[in-house]
Amino acid sequence: MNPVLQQFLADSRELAQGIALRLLRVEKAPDDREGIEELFQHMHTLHGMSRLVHFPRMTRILRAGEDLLSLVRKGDLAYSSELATRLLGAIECVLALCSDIETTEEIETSRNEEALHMAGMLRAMMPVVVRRQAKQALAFPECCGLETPQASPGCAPAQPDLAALLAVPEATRREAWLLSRDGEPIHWIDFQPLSQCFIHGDDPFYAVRQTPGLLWGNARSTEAPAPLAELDICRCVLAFHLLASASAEVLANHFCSMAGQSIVIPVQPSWLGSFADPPELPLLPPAACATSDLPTPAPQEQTAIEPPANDISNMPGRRSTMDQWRRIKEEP
Amino acid sequence: MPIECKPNRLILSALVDMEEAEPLRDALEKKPRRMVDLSACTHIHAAGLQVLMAAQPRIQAWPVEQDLRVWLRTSLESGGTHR
Repeated sequence: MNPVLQQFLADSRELAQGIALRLLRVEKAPDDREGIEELFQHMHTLHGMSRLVHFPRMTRILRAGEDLLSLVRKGDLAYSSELATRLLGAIECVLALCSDIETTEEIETSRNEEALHMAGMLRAMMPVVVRRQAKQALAFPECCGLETPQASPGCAPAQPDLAALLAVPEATRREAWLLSRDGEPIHWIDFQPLSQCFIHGDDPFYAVRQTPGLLWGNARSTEAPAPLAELDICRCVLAFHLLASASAEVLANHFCSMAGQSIVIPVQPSWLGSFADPPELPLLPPAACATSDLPTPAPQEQTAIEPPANDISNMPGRRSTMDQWRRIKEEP
Repeated sequence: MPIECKPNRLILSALVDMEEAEPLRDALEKKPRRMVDLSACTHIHAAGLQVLMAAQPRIQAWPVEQDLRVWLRTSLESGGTHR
């Protein structure tokens, strides 16, 4: 298991246990403002950590928990034993997700559904007006739902930067062509993180390295070269091109939790160019071969994932060690 | 320490987090000819990656971890193409 995930699991369990203890403590003394503040800070930190490692379903639960506690903290929602029970259920769900991640480095599909249900249960406790506002303000958790991503109305015909696609090594393009021939979806992703994403605690390079079905990736600068001394460490000037063999839905789900814009374009086999050593023709029955020697291209669609609006820009940065997270919590 | 400064060599190892981006930039700015050894590096935060792309240092050793090696070679050898 990679060290970032190991650190995440250790820290998230500690935080989850801290939340569970405080939930019980505040249940006995609902006016314990300090306890409520600590609860909110723990939930906020855990939520930030889950975004860092890109488990969107876990993030969705924790975001809902954080929103609920934010209301309690502001006095807009009363702390009740029902609220405590639901939050405890959410924390148990997060711990179960952690166990999945520890075993397989993934979250079981059935658990994903449970996580979505749990997030819905938490959001259902919010006053209706607040729920509407949250839905408008927080594009990100909503877009992590099960909906199939839709093409943006009025978007230009989807086509990747063909020169960039042809710059992918031939062996990789060939592999993509063969996967496509076997019916696997191939997508080209143009991901541009928000320039302030580092302040949000995001590491877009880690995120793109975790892209499902990643075949190839490249980082490039979005700005002209400047003297090194003038490079602003806190501002992201990177963009990424990625080639991946995964469905648009899986990719949209992966990228929706990141601060930035991702464009996911289905790749037609003909875009993968020609090969010096052409791949062997598929061993298909004659009828199938007669129809086409290339897979049927998927209908063109472009999925644009907009940056989350007003997401966590007012939150302190998140870093990868417990001490740093503790330090953040102490920030005003 | 994820960054170790030797007289003519900068060694990046394990997880190079965002906090290391500034010392990395300063070290490369101070001695641009210094070689960079990435062999023991397992991940570098995007902030550090953009420092390497801007500095274009001479790489003495690429990461042993294949995935990172491919990423860094692809991104650094293309010169951090500006668009």
